[in-house]
Amino acid sequence: MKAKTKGRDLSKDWSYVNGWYLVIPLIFLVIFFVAPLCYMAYISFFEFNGVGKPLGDFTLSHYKEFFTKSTFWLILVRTVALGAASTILCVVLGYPISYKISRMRGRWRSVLMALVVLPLWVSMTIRMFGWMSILSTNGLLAKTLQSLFPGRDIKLLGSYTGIMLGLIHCGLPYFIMIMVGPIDNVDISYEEASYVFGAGFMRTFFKVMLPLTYKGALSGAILVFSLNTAAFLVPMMLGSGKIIVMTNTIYQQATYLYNWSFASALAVIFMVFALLITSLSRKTGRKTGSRSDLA
Amino acid sequence: MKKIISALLCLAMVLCLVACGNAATPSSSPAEPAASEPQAPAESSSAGTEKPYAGQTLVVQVWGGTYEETFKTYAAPMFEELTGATIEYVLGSTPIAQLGAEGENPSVDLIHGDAAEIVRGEEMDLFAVIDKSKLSNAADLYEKAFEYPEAIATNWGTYGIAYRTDLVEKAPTSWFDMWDPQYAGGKVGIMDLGMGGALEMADVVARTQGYECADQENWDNLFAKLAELKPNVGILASQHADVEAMLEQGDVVMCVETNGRAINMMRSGLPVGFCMPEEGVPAMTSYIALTKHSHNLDLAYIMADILISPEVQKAYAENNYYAPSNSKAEVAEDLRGFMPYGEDQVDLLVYIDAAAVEAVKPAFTERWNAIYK
Repeated sequence: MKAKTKGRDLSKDWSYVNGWYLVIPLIFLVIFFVAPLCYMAYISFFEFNGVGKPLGDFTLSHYKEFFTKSTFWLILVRTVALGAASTILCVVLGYPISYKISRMRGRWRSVLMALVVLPLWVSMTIRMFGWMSILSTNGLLAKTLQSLFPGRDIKLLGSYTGIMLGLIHCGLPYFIMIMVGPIDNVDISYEEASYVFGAGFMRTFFKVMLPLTYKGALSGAILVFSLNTAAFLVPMMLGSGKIIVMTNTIYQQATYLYNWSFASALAVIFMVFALLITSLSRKTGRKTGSRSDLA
Repeated sequence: MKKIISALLCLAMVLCLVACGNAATPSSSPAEPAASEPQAPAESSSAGTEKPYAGQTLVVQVWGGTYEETFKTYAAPMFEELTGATIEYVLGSTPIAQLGAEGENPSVDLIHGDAAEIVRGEEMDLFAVIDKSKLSNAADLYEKAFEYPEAIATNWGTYGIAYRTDLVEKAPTSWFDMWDPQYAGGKVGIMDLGMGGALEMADVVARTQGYECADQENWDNLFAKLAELKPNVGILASQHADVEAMLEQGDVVMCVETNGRAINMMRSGLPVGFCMPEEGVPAMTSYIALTKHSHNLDLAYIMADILISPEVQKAYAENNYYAPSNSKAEVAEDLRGFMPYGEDQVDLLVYIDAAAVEAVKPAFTERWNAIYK
């Protein structure tokens, strides 16, 4: 119940985040995020005459070029597929770890959380160099796999497997960190009740835990998907330059071919697709969430 | 009251932003360069004990690694001693796009670049036309050093094939040895577009077909040949260090590489050899250019003159194995075989038509990506 005095809503007065305090971050966002984004979208509709030169005539040719060439579609599909597959694996691998951490108390919980966060303290470039040495033909992983499957030519560096491993490595800590909270909020007595009424582990997980933590998992998955589809260094370094995704294509257009308008059009298309996929996931999440609430 | 405080905060932030924006603008107007008239280095050096440019800073972009080391060890001390000015470094590749965006307020005074970057920079009107009268060493440079009016070639390296002597049965002698089916499964490293060595390799292949790589009428043949290499390609390197690491680990047994970097690998004790293929050896020319609207053009000329001086050219030859463009730079006999030393050797190199390639680059890139990526 809201406290009211002489018709005024006191909760608004006492809010730490009332309208005025949002002005500064909003101005920052508008200047450094929204304005460049709008400018990028703007130049994608004009002919590009060179860096530092005035834009040419209005044109839709950049968008037409993307939509009429299968090579660009292939790159987009590859980017989304890599992002989606790595996200699914992050969810599958990350959920049990988050569960275990959230059910722990005391020093070990802190130690495990620190271990999860630890990779994020190291620069991405250095981590990828580490992965390059692990995945190389004479690296630890490739050598182990070669001893397990003798006679097979195992190439991890410069392959989709290598990129997937890198993307999972990058996304997993974020998913685990996000999931610890939602799982922690589910009282363990719910699980105990489920077991008391005869449900096994699988039934308890799918009928109790998953519906109760679904929204958290979805938020984590969307974050990991956003990070992984926008990954630049991972496909560049672990793909050995042989697997190109949207970010690398945009970079190539902007810094090698200096076609900023086409690079902008690619960025806009990429952003719209990512937003569409994200909003579709949220809608599906809401429907599933409401179904599980009813159940 | 709260509203007033918030409004004041907003005002303060806006003022800060405005102040920052002004701070980024040089104190002198680009229309009226504070650098006054550029002076010849000879005049500057005759300034006696008075350091004529004390307190000023020259911003130089230079490639990182051994190139940067030689610059800092030999060229920079000479410059600082002569002028009293200091150098601010921008490490990495040539910031063409950045300079284009900066317009008449370039953040860099002197850049290093390859032929493609010089052509692109000239198209974008980024560089000053070189005034040879301001360079005391200009007369000693080979004619080839002034191929572009807005750049000076400082030295020449070559592109060839670096290979592991312990992992190949027969040392390569031809570019097409990289196509050998025995190296299928990714045993060959090539450079990606954007790195020197990719277009040069394609150009040599095109020349064996009677064309150059910019000749679109031959592209079906050229890309068919390049596609045959795909099963052997283990990396399309975007950094020399990446392909060198793979060569060192034996992931690839041969790769496109510059003579200087290959010799450095050899000298570090790795079992590496370097082949200058029989079909032709592409030139890897290093250029310097001065930004057109630089506020330190006089200092930039002094730096350029130092970079083409016999002493610094010799240092690059001895440390980086890049052949000098100054005819007066004497390199030890035992080192001459490692580089295209002398004007005759320089003239024998294969030079890519950077301007022609620049015009067809987007279409070339699309076909390259379709094959290899």
